[in-house]
Amino acid sequence: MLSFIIKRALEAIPTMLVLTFVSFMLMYLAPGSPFLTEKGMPPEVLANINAKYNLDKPLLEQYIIYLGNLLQGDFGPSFRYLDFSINDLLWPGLVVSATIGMWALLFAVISGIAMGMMAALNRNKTTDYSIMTIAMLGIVLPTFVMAPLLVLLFSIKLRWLPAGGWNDGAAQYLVLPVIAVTTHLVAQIARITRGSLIEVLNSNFIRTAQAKGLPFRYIIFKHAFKPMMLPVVSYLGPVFVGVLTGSVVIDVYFGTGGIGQHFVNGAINRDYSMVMGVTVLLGVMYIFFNAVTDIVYAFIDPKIRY
Amino acid sequence: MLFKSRQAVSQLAAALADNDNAVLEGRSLWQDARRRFFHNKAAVVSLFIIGLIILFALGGSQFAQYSYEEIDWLALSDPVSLGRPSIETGHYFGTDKLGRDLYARTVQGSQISLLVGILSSLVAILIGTLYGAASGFIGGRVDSFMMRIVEILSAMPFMFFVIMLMVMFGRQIILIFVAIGAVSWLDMARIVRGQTLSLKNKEFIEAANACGVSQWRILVRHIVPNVLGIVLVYASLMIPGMIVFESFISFLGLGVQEPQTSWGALINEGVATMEIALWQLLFPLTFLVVTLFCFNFVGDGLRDALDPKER
Repeated sequence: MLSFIIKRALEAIPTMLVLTFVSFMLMYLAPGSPFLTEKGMPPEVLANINAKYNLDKPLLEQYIIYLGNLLQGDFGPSFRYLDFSINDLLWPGLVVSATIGMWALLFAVISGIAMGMMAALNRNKTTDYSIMTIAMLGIVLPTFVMAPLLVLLFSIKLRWLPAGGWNDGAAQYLVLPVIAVTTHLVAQIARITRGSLIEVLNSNFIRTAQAKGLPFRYIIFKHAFKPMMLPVVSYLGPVFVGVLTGSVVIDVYFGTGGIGQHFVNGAINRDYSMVMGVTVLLGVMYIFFNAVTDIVYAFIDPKIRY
Repeated sequence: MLFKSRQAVSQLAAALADNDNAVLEGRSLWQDARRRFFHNKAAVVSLFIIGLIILFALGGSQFAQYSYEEIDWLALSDPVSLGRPSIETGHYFGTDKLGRDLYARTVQGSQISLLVGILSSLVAILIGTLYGAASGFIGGRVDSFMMRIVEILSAMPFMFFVIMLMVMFGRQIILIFVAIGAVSWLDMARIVRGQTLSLKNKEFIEAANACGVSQWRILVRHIVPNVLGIVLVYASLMIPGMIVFESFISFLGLGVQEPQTSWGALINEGVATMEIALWQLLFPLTFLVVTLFCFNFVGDGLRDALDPKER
């Protein structure tokens, strides 16, 4: 197991190198510059600024300098917000996004699995149909529709909850963003769980357990639960990063100041170091959580051994 | 299930007993799938509604009293109606906040949304299927190299690509979405590769090899048609995904260029005025949600129809 983990970590290094290189090149190739304003700028000043941010050096050298700083945990200065380093901007944003994501995920896993199991155990009955209709609604309604509808209902009509803002993560500011993120996840997890449990319940080892006369509850939680979770885990792996790093829509609509907002603004403003910072951060997390998924898989799937 | 197969057996027995019909006609996979699909009421109804929405997008402008970019100053300056939907004024869906006819704009938005969704999915599916099939079929070093590329690409945040593309192509939404299609084939490639790997060692491929069929022909004639079922299911789920994605981009204000519009752009405008003019949100929202619902039901229907386990 340990050797598998080490191997996975070593494999990630070249991937990360290529990832940073490709995004660096793409960002460079895109037309425009962070310092071009409508008013224009004297060429001498522009040359000075370019020199300050190392933009006058050859491309490859720029990349190597960036990589060197990155290894020391330094994402560089922001090109847009003077006096701010990317670290100053990125980490608070990540805390916001991760808080929302964590709650959304927790809620989604618990209620999604519960709903899916209830639907599967009452297959083709009213319970099943009503749960699956709700799930379909959750899948169909995109976040950018959910968010305004929630605000319309809870903030404007009922006046229960604030329509936006963060306020250091106070509970009432968290509720609407978390609901908006979690609906889709709950729906997806419920559907996957339902399909998976139905398939597991049809398999031979469950029939054997039933033939042995084991109590129903015992069969579900001891025999069926683990294999049922396999597709759920493989769905959650890639989704995990996306949820933790937040959703652009949530940040824009609720003004929570998460990472997604920085990302979009960074790209529009040509804030090279911001876009690179977010890309690298997300890339690392993606690769990390993919590895974690594989390891979790190995624990719950008896067919996989490393 | 059991009942159905018992019925089939009794039919078979009856057919065998009847000497005139001794030769039974075989049913192909696709005939089977079609039969099962048309038994699924939700899927058929959804397909019908999608047809209606496409008709609406293509021919809806025939019934519009106004063009989608023309401002109706009368409706704009009327403080009583606020441009509410009404038959008399000819604004069936009311007007938007600039006094433009929302019906005509919804028609226009439907065209863009559907076109973008279908076009980008087509591109993604074409690339993904060929890439995945080639990777799985060739195997070995090439396969692991090709899959490593997929891994790197999927580690890059999708928004990054999108924003880069937007910066490069400006606001030409169709071009952007062809390009988005060209970067969202990764999942498709993975799925098709997995299928190809399991197909590759089947007897019929071996038979084709033994007959001296060229590798390319085996890939195109034998592998690809056999993964087509999964591709079709995935496509029917990808189109709504792309429509949502376009709406999302337009929602951020990065999508279509005025005066053109899309469902997402209309929803975005509707959200801004939802407190006083809810219809500006509800009409485009209904179109979007109904379309997404229908595509999902069709996708489910296709999956049930084509899933070999259901037979």
